[in-house]
Amino acid sequence: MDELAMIREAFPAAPDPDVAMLARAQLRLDAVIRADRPRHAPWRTIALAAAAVALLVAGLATAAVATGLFDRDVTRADLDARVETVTRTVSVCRAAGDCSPPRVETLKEIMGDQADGVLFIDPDGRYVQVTPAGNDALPAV
Amino acid sequence: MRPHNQQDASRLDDVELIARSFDEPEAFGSLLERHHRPVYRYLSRRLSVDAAEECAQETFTRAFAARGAFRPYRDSALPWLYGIATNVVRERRREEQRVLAGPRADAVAWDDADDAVDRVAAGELRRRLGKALAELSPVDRDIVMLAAVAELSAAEIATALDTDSRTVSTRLWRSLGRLRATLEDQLLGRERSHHG
Repeated sequence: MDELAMIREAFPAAPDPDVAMLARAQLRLDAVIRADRPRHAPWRTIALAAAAVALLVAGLATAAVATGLFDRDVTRADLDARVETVTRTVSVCRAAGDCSPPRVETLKEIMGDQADGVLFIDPDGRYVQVTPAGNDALPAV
Repeated sequence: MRPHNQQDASRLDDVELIARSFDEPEAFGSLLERHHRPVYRYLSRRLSVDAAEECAQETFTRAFAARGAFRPYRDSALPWLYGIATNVVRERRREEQRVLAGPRADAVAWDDADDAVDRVAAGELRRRLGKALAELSPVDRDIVMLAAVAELSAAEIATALDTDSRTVSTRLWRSLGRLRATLEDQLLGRERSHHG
């Protein structure tokens, strides 16, 4: 008998693993496989979310360009469509307690954003734009 | 967890199975079913039965994690798995030394030596062999055990230990020479008892 055979004889193997032992090994491996999944999942989720956001932004930008959202050329017809006729009571004061009698005025005006100011239409039909020097100059609404 | 198509997985060789496990990790379970028995039996010769079960589990979980570095030997993963199992044993040197140093209580139930004299002789042989094996360097002992109890060829051992087969052959030959010298008395003693 050679040395290798003697070692096999002197250090016998245990009986074959039973079904329960195999099941325990399988369970442990399954746990490792499950634990391995989330390590990759966040990156996949983040990549998918980033792709979705990029698609959404691209879609919105395309739609905005197509509908002329960024188009700065406003025609007179556009302005006329936004004209409102307002009636105001105006009293001009030179100093405290020194005011003219109130008079009623009817004006046509187009309200824009605060920064854009107010566009008036004078009796001759010309547009007069009043733009504040800064937003702070506008009265509080 | 099992592959979606178990029958399909059973037709794959180890290399294909591991490749599939990258997309379908559950496929690795088929590799465990295929090779758990030899890995466990190898470990049970080097460690206690309880430690062998624990280390066999550890071997497969490590193999799953390291499958990117899989080294096949003729489409078989077994030598690679033996290599991982051997690394696990290396981390349990104390346990291994205990098994080499003395009779193992857990082996009584499956020891097939019926005769009391044979049992004593086997115990003595084991003691001497264990002592001789313990005196080898860890790498030499791994090579001898892979050749003896896992019955791997030099090329398979080289795959298992990620070295070249020439080195394995040289170290195995040298280690067996040392074991032979240590065991000479024991061999002569057994011969005498058989003739008597």
